[in-house]
Amino acid sequence: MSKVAIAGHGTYGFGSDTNGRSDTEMVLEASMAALESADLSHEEVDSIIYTGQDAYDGSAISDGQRVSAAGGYRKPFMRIQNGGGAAIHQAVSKINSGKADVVSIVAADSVYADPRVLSWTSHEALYHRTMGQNNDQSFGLLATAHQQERGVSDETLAQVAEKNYRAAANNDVAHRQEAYSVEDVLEADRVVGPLTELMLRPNSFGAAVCVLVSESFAEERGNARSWITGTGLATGKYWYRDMSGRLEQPTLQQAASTAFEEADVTIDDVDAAEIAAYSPTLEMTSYEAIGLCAEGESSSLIEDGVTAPDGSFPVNLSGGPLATSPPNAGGIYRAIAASQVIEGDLGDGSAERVLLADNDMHLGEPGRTDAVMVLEGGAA
Amino acid sequence: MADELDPSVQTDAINAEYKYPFHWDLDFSLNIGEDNRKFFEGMEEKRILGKKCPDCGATFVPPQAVCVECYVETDEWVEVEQHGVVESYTACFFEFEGLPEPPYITAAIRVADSDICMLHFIDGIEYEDHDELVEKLHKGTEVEPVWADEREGHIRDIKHWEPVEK
Amino acid sequence: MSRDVAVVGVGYSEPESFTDYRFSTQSKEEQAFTAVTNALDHADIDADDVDATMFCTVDGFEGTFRVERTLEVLGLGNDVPVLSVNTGGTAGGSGVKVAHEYIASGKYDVAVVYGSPSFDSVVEAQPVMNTNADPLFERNFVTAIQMGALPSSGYMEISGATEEDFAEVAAKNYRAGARNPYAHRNEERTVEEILDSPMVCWPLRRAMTCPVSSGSAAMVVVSEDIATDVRDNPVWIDEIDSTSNTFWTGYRTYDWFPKLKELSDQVYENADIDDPLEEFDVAETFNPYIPFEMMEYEALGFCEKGEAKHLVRDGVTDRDGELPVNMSGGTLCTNSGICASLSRHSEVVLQLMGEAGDRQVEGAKKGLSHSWGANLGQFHQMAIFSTER
Repeated sequence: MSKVAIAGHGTYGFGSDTNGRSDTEMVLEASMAALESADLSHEEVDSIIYTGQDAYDGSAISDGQRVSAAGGYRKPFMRIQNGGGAAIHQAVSKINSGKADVVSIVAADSVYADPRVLSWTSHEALYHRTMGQNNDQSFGLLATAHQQERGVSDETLAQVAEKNYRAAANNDVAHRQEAYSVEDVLEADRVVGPLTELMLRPNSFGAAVCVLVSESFAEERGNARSWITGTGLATGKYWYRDMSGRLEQPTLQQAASTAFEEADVTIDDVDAAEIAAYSPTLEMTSYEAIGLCAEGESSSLIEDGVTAPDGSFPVNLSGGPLATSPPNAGGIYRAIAASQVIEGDLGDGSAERVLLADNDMHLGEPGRTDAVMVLEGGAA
Repeated sequence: MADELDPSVQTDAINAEYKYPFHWDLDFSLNIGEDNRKFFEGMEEKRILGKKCPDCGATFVPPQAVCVECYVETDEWVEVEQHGVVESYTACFFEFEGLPEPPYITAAIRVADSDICMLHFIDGIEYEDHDELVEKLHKGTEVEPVWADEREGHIRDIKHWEPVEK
Repeated sequence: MSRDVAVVGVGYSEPESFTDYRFSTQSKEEQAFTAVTNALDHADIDADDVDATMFCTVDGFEGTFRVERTLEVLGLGNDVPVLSVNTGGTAGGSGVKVAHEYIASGKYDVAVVYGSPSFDSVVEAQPVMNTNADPLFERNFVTAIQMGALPSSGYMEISGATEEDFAEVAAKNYRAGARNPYAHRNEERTVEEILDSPMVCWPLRRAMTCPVSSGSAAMVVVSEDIATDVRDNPVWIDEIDSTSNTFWTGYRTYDWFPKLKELSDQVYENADIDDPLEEFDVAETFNPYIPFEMMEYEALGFCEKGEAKHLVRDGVTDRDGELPVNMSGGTLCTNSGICASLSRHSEVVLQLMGEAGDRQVEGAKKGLSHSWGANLGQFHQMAIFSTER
């Protein structure tokens, strides 16, 4: 499989409001910025993939509303609802099938509604919605299991959040840019189980656009910012069977191993990661799922600061979803952040290979889809 | 754009002239199929039913039309023991429409020897704070259902589950 | 590096499930499992060999947001990735397109495309469909029926097509639907009966508009090696593509489908089609409002602009005509949910396999399928299928 380049990207925001901008205005601004950074005109874009979702947009078939601003008029316009990572996974195949050389991946978040209620409407109607199941409750169920089975303390969970906020303080597009301390995190309002407000995502508004191009196109134009050399995708089961199994994040394991295999690398060859971890529990168990440490050893990575911004394997130099979480655009933004780590715009610029692990767990953990990719440097 | 707003601030309180309130409230009527209909009929009679996979023998409570491991339709109904084991739980500290006053405890409960867990409430535990709850409720805690007096063929015909008195 | 891609299996939920949504009792799991297992059986492919599933729907119509997350049967028991594809009425065709790209690129070898019934849990369909219109301006004035009526009345003006022509096309679809066990409407209706049905929104009478149905479809799409391995008569995807119009309808012309004409010109150029009427043996087009079928004849190049009335009056697109169109009964008779856009494809596939039962057009070797969707037909999608590659 040929590698595909990230040639350009653009964002608007992120924050707790759109600053009065409409969805169209934000998409237009982010798209223009992405095309400019890729040194492309909108005529050169072959195909668009939109990653927003109806309920978050407050309209059925909401992708239709974004066509013009995303530059999709008179072009193929696809929508993949499993998030930005899955859309990139599809775009890579689209390019490798010869159907397109330039694909723009687009999303925005502009409509305010209670995200916990929207998540609730995505859960099974007869047995789970009746029990109030939603994203936060699913994170709470996992957090309890994690603490009981692995003896993880509240303080360790707070340290995970703190190191994300420490990174976000140096990211001028992050939604939460305050470097909250471990005490701040622990003292924030408790939401569910051991998880406080600051151990869970904010609801962010803004837009993100990422432009992918084929290897030959990137070489001809010399506009590669980073290369996607491997991708993997997996969807998990919805019904709870056993929590220990869920803590292992088998779909992340599976998607990561496919991506590693395709890129012909192992975790030892990777320098940093952007992980869509919607709670400290999920971030810690992700370390184990991607093979950064053995099962149950993630606490020591946190204690030792290995995954902190100045650690040997920084995770979420962007601040991750705890700092910035636009539900439609989050995956695209994380891919942009991963590229920026390689480009040297996030972190110290030393990373040559970055793992991006996206998923759609903003809706909750059951039935999640994980999309993993390996990004590498080496501009064309 | 980094300001952290208090959750109580309503969105139309900010930049109101740029906001267009609308409501998306549609009525749906879900077709529940034969399996769920029969399960709920059992609930009305204070019976908990499960459905079994003809290949691997796994039992599913609540019932599943298909055993996805074997990818075959389940075919045999069994009435299961009214006994559950907590797989995990969490206390919710936020208010949610149609649900009890917070904090309330939601748990994944394995009923009898079901392959999948049932989500339900756990009550009947006195606790002052989260630390005390964590002392009293564990993975493996045995629970039993407390039935509602008025039942209408619904998962909440069980009011909640409580730890079994030892 | 691109590989040839074929369809090797088609499956539907039970014939009884293709019904008025109000008669439907089956759960979404049951409908999905039946359609998917029927498609896999038809393809002679084991569930364990599936690499990915495309779930095609409109979220807002389902009653559960991202409902596929709760439907484990789509993961085929083995944590198969389930891609959620939602592009309105074209979503089924979009799912085939995504599957095609995954397989052509070499990423996957076997994909299942599933078209959800979508509307099977609504109480009233019109307000549900209306949620796709622009909230600031257009939602206040139109529902889905006006989306069908506006271009239809404009088309009458410019083409000279009459109510009788529309009724004739509808009668052809009802005759075809009567031969299709998976059609929701499967009784013949005469031109007179159609013209006697109540006027809903000029010029659309009730019998010229689709019903709201349950019932679902699935298709198995595979790489070239597997295709020739599992069956003697795989159907090859020659070309598949789509295009988009503006969201706001103020930019549009309300009298035919110029964007579909642009798309078909491009698709025919890529697939070396010079004379579609001559070269295709069957076609399935998206006709939830029956005048669309005539506009589609013109946009798809079966005749010149304004000339579809002659194809209708001469029976060119009927069973015994030169190019039989919508021998399934079309969207008018089969299913209006997202299943409808997938079944436009699966019906052409069955025809080319020679396995379309009573609706079979003898000797069909090349076929065209089309789907239409989103706000006032913002998206068009087309595929060309062939028995040869």
